[in-house]
Amino acid sequence: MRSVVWKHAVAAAALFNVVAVASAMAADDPELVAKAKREGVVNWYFSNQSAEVLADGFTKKYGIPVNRLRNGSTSQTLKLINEFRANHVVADVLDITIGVPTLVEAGVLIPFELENAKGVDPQYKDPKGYWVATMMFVQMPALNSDIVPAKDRPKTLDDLLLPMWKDKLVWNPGGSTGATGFIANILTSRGEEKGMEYLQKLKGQNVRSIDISSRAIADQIIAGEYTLGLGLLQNQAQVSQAQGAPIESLRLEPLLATTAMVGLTAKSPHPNAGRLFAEFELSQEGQMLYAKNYFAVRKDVPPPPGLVEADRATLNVLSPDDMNNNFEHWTDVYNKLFR
Amino acid sequence: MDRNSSGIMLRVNALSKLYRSQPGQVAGGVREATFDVPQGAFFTLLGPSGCGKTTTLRCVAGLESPDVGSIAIDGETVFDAGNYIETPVNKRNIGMVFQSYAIWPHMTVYENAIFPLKVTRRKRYSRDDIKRRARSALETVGLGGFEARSATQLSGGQQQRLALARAIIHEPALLLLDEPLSNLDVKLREEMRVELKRLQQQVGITAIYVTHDQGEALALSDTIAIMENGNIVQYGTPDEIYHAPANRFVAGFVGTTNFIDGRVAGVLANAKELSVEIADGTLLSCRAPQSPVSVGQAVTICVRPESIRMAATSGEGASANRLSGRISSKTFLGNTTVHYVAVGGHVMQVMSNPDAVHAPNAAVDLHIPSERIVILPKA
Amino acid sequence: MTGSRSSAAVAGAGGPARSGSPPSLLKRSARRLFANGGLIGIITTAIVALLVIPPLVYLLISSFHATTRDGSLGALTLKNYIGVFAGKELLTAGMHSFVFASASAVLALMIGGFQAWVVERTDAPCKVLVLISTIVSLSMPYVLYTVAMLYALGRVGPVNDLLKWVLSSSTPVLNVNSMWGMIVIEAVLSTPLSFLLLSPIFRASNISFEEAAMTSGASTAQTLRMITFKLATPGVLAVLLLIFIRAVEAFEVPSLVGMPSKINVLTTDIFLNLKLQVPPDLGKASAFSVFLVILVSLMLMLYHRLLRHSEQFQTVTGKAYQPRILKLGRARWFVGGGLIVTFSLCTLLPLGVLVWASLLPYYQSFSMRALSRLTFKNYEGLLGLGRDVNVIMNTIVLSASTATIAVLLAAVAGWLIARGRRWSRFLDQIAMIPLVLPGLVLGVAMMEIFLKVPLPIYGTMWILLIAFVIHCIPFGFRYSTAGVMQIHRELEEAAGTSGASLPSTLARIVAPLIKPALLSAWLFLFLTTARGVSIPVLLSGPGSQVVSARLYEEFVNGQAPHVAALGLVWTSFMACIAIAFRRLGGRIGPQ
Repeated sequence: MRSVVWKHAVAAAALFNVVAVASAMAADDPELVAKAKREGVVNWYFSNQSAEVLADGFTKKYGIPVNRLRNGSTSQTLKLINEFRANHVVADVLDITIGVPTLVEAGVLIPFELENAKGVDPQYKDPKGYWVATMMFVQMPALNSDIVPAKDRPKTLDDLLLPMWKDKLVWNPGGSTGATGFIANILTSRGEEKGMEYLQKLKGQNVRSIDISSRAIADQIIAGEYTLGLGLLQNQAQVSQAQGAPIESLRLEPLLATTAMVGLTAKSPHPNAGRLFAEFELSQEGQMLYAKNYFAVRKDVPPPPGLVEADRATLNVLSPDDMNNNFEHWTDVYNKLFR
Repeated sequence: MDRNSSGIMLRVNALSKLYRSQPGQVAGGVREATFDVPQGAFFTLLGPSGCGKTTTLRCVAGLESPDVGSIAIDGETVFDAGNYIETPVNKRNIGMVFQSYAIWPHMTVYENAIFPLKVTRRKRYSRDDIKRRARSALETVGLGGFEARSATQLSGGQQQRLALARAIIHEPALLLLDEPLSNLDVKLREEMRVELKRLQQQVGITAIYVTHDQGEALALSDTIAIMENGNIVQYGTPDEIYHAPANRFVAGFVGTTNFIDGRVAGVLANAKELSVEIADGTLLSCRAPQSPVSVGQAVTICVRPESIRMAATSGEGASANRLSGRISSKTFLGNTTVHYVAVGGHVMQVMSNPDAVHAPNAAVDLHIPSERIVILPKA
Repeated sequence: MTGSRSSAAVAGAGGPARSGSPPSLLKRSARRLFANGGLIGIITTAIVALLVIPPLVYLLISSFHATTRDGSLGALTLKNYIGVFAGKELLTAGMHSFVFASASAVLALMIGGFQAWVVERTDAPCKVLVLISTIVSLSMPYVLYTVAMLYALGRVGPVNDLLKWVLSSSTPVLNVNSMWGMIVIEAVLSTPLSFLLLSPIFRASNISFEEAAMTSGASTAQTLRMITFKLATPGVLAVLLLIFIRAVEAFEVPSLVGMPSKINVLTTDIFLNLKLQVPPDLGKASAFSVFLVILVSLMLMLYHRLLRHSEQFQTVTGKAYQPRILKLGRARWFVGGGLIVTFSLCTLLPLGVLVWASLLPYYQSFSMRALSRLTFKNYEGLLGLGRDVNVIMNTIVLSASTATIAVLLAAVAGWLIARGRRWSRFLDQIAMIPLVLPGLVLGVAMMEIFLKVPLPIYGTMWILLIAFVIHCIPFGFRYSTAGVMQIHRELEEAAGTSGASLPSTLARIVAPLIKPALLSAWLFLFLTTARGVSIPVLLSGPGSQVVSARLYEEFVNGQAPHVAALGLVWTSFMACIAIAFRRLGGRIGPQ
């Protein structure tokens, strides 16, 4: 299945912008590559499991091995802050979804500019240069298509308030998906007042919380334990549906998107290798690897299966700063209304 | 109630229980034990450690499952290998005193004592009845007034008494005692021995007693079974056991015995006595044994040290059953003195009045009454 | 015995300083301090304190400081404590926690106690099932186990399907997202611990106490109830305490099972807030842990009060040290049936769900249609994991060394505690502390400490080893104290009077006698370390990764069938190691 997607993606990319590929390939700074090779290795802290293919691609291309350390964003943040304060930084480059502004505040990250990020929309880049988004996770509710007949499926977010959904909804608290993501989407797209009005009504629907990953929530829906999950990642339903699972994503607009970002560490032991790795992530080649599952930030890379290029314009994108500034507020709303 | 009209409280028949350390290698147990214990008797299984006496007792209790044989308590068969009968231990109507007393540390004296009444299913006891029986049982063993004590506050002797009270409070058919006195010091042990006998007679209970101490066995028992290597080798009253041991093992194990090897020289005219020639050629006349012996057969004669009369050598000529010897050493025991006398090639023990003291190396005559000599076929 | 006497002497020596000249007094005190096991006490206490106290100090400091965004300590404050205790639903959550923890601990104790008694003391068939059950549960990561139980007992799970069919009901009969669901699942998770800790107690009990009851006319059930279990009480209480504390701080079950029905306990109420923040509010987490430390200390005091007459319960005497195997007769099939039932519910059911899930392209409940979809694809997908050989090796080396060190330490310390030797009370108190240090707090504390001290072990296996040893100390201690408590003091005293020194008595008498307890402890700690997640997450570097943390991410982010396949493979791998160890264990020495 994956290889089919991959072939499509490659074909699409070839069609879209052959020149861009060529120029992206040519953009490698030979001096940077040489310095990176002299450093010999790059230490990469990251949180997204599907990103691992990127390290393989990097090593294949440059012959520089990647020491990987995968952990949740929270743990990575905590770890990096402590390493920095102890003057014993191990990581060179880091890819996480939440916590970047905290790291900036703590002085752990340095500002940088990437050759390959030049064509990326400004909304995906930190004005001060501390981070660049690499991809977007699109969130969509999903339901069990065996349980819910096509005519009953919600068309808008307001349909979720219908009496028939009482006791049928489920989400997970914490992180950027699930409850937090859903609440964020409502409050940012409708404004505080209207948004809270909606959420008050949603409270009456008695949404169930389970503290498992959104992927596991999707599995619970497929199993039929619950009927409709809020704040799931679009590709999760996509992958399972392709295997024949009775799960269906719901296009209840606006669609929320959160970002993953790359950053470079201060006091990094291999600064050039780290920078070269970040360049690779934003190169068309690297972005194509991400596009198998997620929305890449480069326009010359096709959208993931199940979404179209036009979605890019309508996505409700939460920037890291949005996330960071309002996260506590959204959590509060969750605690007050839904716990 | 009167289903047991025979008056036999315990009947053990062809009981075997063998432990094997490896296949084919027997490491202990009991073989083919058969005995009866009449109502009210004090029956003792006596033998050295590892002889199978405790195994036998535990089989009777139901703590071990015999390989073959049958056991009946008070006329009721509780074990029969042939008929697949095996009554569990708690339904055998017994009381048992353990070597370690096994007084439960988490209960008071009173709770320990009344335990059998509380758990039994034979009969329901009223609260008053329980209290009355507890008082009576504890008073019988001399623990009146100790009811509220924690069991751990008792001395060894008191624990022993409590164990006894616990074993008799429900008036079982059998009282089983597994070396109950062995953990007590000597003085207490003698006191308890007397106490135990008094108690058993007072209550009128049938007791099965296991010990390796021949003194205890002789003092307490109506009947003793001597065990060796899993076999019952002799069965009889204390007097029979002591004075007519069935073999050299019994003679040596119960009390002290001088063994002298000899040969049957002839039968005396009255046919009730034999004459045996010992190593130095002396002829001793002895009572004829139950099992017939023939002239010329090698035998061992057994003489208890206290049966020998000793006097300084008188110089008279040889008289009947007299041996000459020389004192080689002596041990003063307070109430008696033991002299070691070299006679011919070996040393004999002679027990005598403490004031009859002979100096070392003194020549003495030993007189052995013929009725005190036991003849055993030589092993 | 001598311990208390000589400690009184030391106290006295401090007073009459008038008579002796200072140096001789000093010498005398020093000699007394080291006599009678004092030296062993000092060394052991020092090692344990060195391991346990620094994280505790860190915990205290951070609980009184605000947590700043950059992770450094902010101003001195009481806000963390106020934050913990100001929650309006704290009382409800506290009540829930208490009900949940005590009920699940008691249930786990009953199941584990039943298993331990049957395995150690009866001739019931199917004993091997308990072993399988224990090894499987200990090898299976908590999250996976909980999720499997949820699928098994859930709305569309096999249990509800069966009940629906039996009772011809159209709606699910059981709602697992309830207090009883939490209690049952937590109890199932704790049962192996309870079984392993109770086994030595039953194995080593004095048989004549029971025989005395049976010859008094007590039935097997009466003997068990009135004698066997009563005598095991101190040991059992210790186990109960341990399981209770673990359940109070359990997070997986309350959050996965209770939260959907809004049944919040202390951990979900307080920790959830912390978890949601980036970086987490360590100050508040620490304040909560301090609260737990105090709670546990109080419970330990209570426990010691109950245990004051521990001598009366010492049960292994030199005599007849061979527990009797109870012949159950016809009841053996009944008891064996009990084992089969517990095995089915605790192991077969979740395992079956996992096997089923792992053979499907996506998870679905049992049906004929689903049968036709069975596939081995999920297992084929795992073949790629084989390349992480060094990660697997790291895990095995780490787990084995952690278990070995913790067991050795615990053997000595457990003996000191059970014998009431000098330092024992203090040792017992501090040994329990790691139990209430949340993995996250312990991780951060270790990181802070080793990034600051000039010992270059940050990011290496060593820091993981130290952290896991700390984490394992309470479990090791409970194992060995339970073991030592069963050995009659005379057995040691006899060694002493035979001329054996204290270390030699420990090595030649105590260690062999508690060997079964120590072997169980080793296995338990090995498996616990291998599945520990929160510690490696913070402490492992790129070169010192272990399987558990990797797996955890897979568990969290993977699809159910893939997770099931992965979990089963890992569980069988661990089970193989455990079985190999037992084989080996059987051959060490003449048991």
